[in-house]
Amino acid sequence: MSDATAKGLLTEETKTRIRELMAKYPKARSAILPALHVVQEQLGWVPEEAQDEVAQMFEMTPAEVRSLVTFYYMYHRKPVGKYVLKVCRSISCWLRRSEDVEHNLCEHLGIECGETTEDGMFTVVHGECIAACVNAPAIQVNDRFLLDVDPDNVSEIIDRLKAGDPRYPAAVESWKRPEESKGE
Amino acid sequence: MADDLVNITIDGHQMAVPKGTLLVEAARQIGIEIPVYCYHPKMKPVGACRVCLVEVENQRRPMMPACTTTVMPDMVVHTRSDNAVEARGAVLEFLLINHPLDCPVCDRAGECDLQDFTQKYGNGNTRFIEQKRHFAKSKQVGKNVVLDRERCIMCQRCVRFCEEIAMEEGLVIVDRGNRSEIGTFEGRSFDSKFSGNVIELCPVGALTAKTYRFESRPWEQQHYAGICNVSSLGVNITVDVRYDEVVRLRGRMNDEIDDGWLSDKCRYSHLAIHSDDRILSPMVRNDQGQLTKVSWAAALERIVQAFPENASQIGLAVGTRLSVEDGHMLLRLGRGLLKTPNVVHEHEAESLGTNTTLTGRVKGCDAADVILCLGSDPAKSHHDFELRIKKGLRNKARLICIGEQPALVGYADYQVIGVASELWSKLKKELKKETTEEESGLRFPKPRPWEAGGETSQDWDALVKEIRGAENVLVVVSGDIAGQGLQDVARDVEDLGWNTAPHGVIHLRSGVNPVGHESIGLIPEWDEDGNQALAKAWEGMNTDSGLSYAEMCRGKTEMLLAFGCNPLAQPESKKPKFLVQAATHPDETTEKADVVLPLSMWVEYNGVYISTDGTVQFNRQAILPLGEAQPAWSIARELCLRLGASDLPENPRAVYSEVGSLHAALAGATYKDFQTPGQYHWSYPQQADLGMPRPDLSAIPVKEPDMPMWMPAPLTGSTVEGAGRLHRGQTPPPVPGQRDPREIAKLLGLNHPMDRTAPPALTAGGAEKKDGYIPLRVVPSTSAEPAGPTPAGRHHEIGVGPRRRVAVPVAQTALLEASDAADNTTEDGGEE
Ligand code: SF4
Ligand code: FES
Ligand code: FES
Repeated sequence: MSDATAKGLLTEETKTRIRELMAKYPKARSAILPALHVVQEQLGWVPEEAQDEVAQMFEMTPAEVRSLVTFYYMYHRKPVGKYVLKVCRSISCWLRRSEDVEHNLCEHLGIECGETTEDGMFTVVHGECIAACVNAPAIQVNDRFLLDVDPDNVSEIIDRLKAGDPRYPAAVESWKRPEESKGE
Repeated sequence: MADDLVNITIDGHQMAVPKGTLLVEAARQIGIEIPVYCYHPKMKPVGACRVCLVEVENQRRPMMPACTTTVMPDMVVHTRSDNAVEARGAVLEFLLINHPLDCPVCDRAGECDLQDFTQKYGNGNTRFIEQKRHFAKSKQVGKNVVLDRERCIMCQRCVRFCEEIAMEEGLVIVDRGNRSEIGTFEGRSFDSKFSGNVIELCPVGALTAKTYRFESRPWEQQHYAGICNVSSLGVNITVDVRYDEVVRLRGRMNDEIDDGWLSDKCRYSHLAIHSDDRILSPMVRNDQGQLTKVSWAAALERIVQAFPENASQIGLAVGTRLSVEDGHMLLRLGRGLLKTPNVVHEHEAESLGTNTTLTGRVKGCDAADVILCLGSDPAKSHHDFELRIKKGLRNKARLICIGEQPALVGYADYQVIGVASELWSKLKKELKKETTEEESGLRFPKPRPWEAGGETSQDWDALVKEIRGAENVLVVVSGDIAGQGLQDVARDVEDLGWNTAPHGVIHLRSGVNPVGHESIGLIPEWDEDGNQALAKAWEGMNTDSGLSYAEMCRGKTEMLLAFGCNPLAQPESKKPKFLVQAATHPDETTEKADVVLPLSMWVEYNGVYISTDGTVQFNRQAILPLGEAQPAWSIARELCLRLGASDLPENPRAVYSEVGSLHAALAGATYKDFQTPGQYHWSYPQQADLGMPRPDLSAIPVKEPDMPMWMPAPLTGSTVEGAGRLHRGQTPPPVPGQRDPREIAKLLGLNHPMDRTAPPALTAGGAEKKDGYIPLRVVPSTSAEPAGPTPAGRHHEIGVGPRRRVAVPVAQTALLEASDAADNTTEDGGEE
């Protein structure tokens, strides 16, 4: 670990971005959460070596940073796939068969929830309400939403993601008012 | 004045308390217990556990956490109303859902807040039928700290200690919600100098000490009030004894000194007491050059015969771990009977002479504006002082380090590295200069060095300005200030007008009790005027100036008696012709000594110690001397007897009274000075200045529950001191809505342990001789206990009788008995 730390995992670019964030607040440590997101953007997850580096930048103890990284589940503590599919399992989605969504996704990909496919493409995880209850069941794919997911047709999602269309999923695919979706 | 007071009513009691008082503190003042877990009087309240919920009238939300709610005018609070009782029960039920309920194998059982409060306030049942959360049972988080995550109730006391009090990397909460656990950064060990404190703080058995795991049960222990024998700070400790064995040391709150904390260096110092290499019998070097065991009589005889004709060829070196009484009897032996001028303590070179008054006190950190470490590094030499400095920093103090590169540098607001004495004279000059410059502009609070983003400044001018603006300055100098060319620092500080107690200079001495030994004259120069009473009492005593310790180590005398010190470890040391050492553990000197005497350690006898800032404190004997070991005062006394003296004091109490009658510095001192709780620390000079009468009370404070019972933990330790713990002779108060267990027992036709009469005490006199040895007595009980049945014997009656018996030779026991009997009749009898 000391070797990696000596070299550093974070690129200069990441560090510059973190420093910019730090400058925005009266107390630099207020920027710790966005800074960790920047790290995750670079590495895809937040390894311990990176936590240590961030701690040094912020003059915090590494243990404090670990405490934060483990508190917020949006930070990945192990490497994840290119696409992280966060299946909401809160009440609205659950009522609309989110369990089936998760089960079918996992079966289709041949993994358990929380695991990553061998090709490093997909990770399926649980999530709690992502404020898309109107279009339940919902999945969050990296930083975009997939709404009104059809539990019986999850393979289509995987295929489209595999195709690598940068516009899929769209930023917000279909916010529909409740009345509109009623007739479906 | 009245404006600052607020009238409130708690459980029908009306009271006025200062504004800003927390409800839990207000209730404690009138003896009402509100249970707490996360709250700790020395840390910021967080309101995490909710067990302290009380009902407050006319509130939108009537249940308020007492630990975060401050008093409001005319507040009406109920701690025992139906709502309060129900809320507490509910919180406890919650806290227990994941708890493994493994009290039978838990170290904390018997002194556990969770156990005690559950018994008192719990519902007695659970509705949780689901699977509990499980973790690997024990996890070593630090060198000596073992964590059981299942038992943790997430009060965060340990986390807050590391962050707030120790202000360094330590334990944190990992993960979230029901998965939270206490941990460190992945793969790192929690090895703080203060790590042991979290063990004491933990209200449950989640954090335990490796040295104490499965070693002892709290109800088998006796607790004694002791003083740390590792540094000269005089940190207060509780010595916990299981039969004849010291099983652990804990902090004991003394606001003047330790603030309730205890560093690991002291906390684990008891391991030396029962270590295998203790020297436990007298030894004499035989013709083959080997040390062989002999009787006390033979060893003493050998020494007496070796005394050279010329008295000035005898040197007496006294270790600073010894008490004032030890020093006094050795002085009597040396100057009084042998008539040698060479009686000094081992750190006499650091002495500033008796004419210097230093006003700095440990507690001076709290209100200091500037703490100036001048060529000193408290973090290295006096661990416990580091925490006090950090407390100062949190209050308002700026830390300025001049001279050394200190370990504390991460906390220093300013630091300038260089030769301390040069920098000091430069600083002095600049401070004395009149300045006309105006303080201009607002000072924007910059983050402090220990806050993220803060920096240590090396700007000399800013530093000078900072000191100039300060009202209270505490100058911290290390022991060896003469070596650093700073011997005049006390006078300089006086010139600068900083010498108002508790601020001014604090001189961090090496060793434990050097100040005590100096106050009775164990230094080379003899102060004839100050010691007239002594000269009169000890007719013909030697009043010349003698050799220094360094000279003695270099073999300047024909014969050297080293008591509790290691002269041959000194540079350029040379073995004198005849070398006697009284030691606890073998060292360089033991290897060469002609006679080796077994010396008692500090917990084995009563004694008085004076801390580095002049606080006089009493250390209570906790166990009998091990093996054939004897305290130094007693060895000195035996030698005095053999030199023809009579009329010698027979126990530490009498020795100390003699100190009080003969030494000007401690004039009038007796053990009675320590007889009230809170009087452990009592500084003679201060007291005299204030013209206050000496307290005259009748029992030595021996047991520690000087706090009212049923109080939330007022001390560092969570429970033992107060909360929910029954002490002998006390009956639990009735708990509303709960049946008295004794009544239940009666209904079932059982004999409740609390109702049983206490087992007959093992008495000192009754032991039978066997093959010339008698079994060691059980440590005499230390408080004046009511005769007859003891109602709350439940904590004490299990397993009476020593686990292992140590044999003591008769001759020595007789000697011991004589001194001890006298000691005990006065102390334990209570009244005089
Ligand atoms: S380990 Fe002990 S002190 Fe730390 S949070 Fe858990 S219960 Fe509290
Ligand atoms: S419940 Fe799934 S998004 Fe709100
Ligand atoms: S919430 Fe008050 S003691 Fe924990």
